[in-house]
Amino acid sequence: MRSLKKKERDKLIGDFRSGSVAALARLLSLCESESRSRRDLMSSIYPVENQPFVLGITGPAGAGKSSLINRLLFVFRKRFERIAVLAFDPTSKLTGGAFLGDRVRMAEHIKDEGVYIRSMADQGRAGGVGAGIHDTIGLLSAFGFEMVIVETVGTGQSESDVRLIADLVLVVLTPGFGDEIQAMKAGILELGDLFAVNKADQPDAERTETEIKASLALGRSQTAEAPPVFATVATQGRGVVELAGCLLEKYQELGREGVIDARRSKRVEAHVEEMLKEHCAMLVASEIKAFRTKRAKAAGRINPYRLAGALISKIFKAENNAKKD
Amino acid sequence: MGKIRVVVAKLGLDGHDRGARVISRFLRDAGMEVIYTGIRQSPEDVCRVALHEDADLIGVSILSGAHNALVPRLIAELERSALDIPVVVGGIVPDDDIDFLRSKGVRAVFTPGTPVEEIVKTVNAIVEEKRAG
Repeated sequence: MRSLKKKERDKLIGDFRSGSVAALARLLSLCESESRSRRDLMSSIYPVENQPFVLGITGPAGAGKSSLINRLLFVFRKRFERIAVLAFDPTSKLTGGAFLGDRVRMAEHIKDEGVYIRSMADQGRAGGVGAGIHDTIGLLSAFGFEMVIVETVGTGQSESDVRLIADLVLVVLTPGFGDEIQAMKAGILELGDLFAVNKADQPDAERTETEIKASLALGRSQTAEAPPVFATVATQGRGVVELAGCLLEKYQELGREGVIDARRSKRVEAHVEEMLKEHCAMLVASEIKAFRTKRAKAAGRINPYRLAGALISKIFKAENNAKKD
Repeated sequence: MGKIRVVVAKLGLDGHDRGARVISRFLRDAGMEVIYTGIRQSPEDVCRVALHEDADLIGVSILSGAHNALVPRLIAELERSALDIPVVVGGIVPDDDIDFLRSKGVRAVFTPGTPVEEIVKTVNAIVEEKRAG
């Protein structure tokens, strides 16, 4: 294990600031790892003035998310100079390894200097995106991207984190996604600002579209608008221009209503909360370890409430002293 | 330092990627993050993928016989982009060409029949050496 020396860190940040893609790529790797040097490194990029349009794309595995992004990129590139794509795939819980294959579907954009594609492993985290996602988006914002597309892993019912990190969420489903009951049950329908029924050239596409629309309209007041549903065929590009147009419109509409700003401040809140939890968990882990070696045999003489209280005081004292140094 | 990130690349017009997929799987099972480029990539494309992905190593899978032409182009492109990323090659490479590829900077060549453990071990060793830098 090699930690970065201050000189290396400064050079990396300097290169990043002057627009080096290699430095960006390196920093994105670093912000996935857990370490104290990461905190110093990432802290130096904030505050970030540039706030890109962060579009989250989620949906079951094999729904065609990557293929749809491939098509959407052609349309969005007419509007935005620089776009980054973060494509998440699952990490194996058994081996810790990952096969990241999303960019195969987006290979057409490799020659485009305005598109940066990064394959990410979710590191076994539930929620559809990996740890460090806030810093990842922070880095891409600071680098100057005007749009960031986040593709979650395709798990189906647990990509709720995307709601928290994106300005707007597109849910991609396919024909035969399930009957109406399934549509109501699946939390996925609560996530989306927009929906696409991809592979719409397959049988049953219309029925799926109707069912999703019905589920989305259910329980909504007459005045409240249900999220739009689009039929697309990503492989042929069908419906993609319309979908892209609607995504941009919705982004502007929510921007005018102040919804995007509200979501962004929630994002900062979540980032800070995560950092606090991470920090506290680290402190707790080291105290528990110390406890285990020292007093493991004294179970009968311990008041757990008192002990926890004493440890909390100790942790805070140690932290205060560390700050003074 | 994080997981080892390997870009597995198919160079040139050869569209048979079973070998690339099999090797990707073994590297994944060895705990690495494997980024697959898909088939029919140019040396320039592979270089850009490696740049974007912060690759620790590039594994080129090639069966077409064009290795002597394409692999040195990839290495030249990496140098031009100031990327210090080791390259290994797997596939059908005649013995006579192995020395040539190595002289061009290829770190290892794996021909059919190479035990998977050896490939994993070699990849680990090359990346560790580079990270210790």
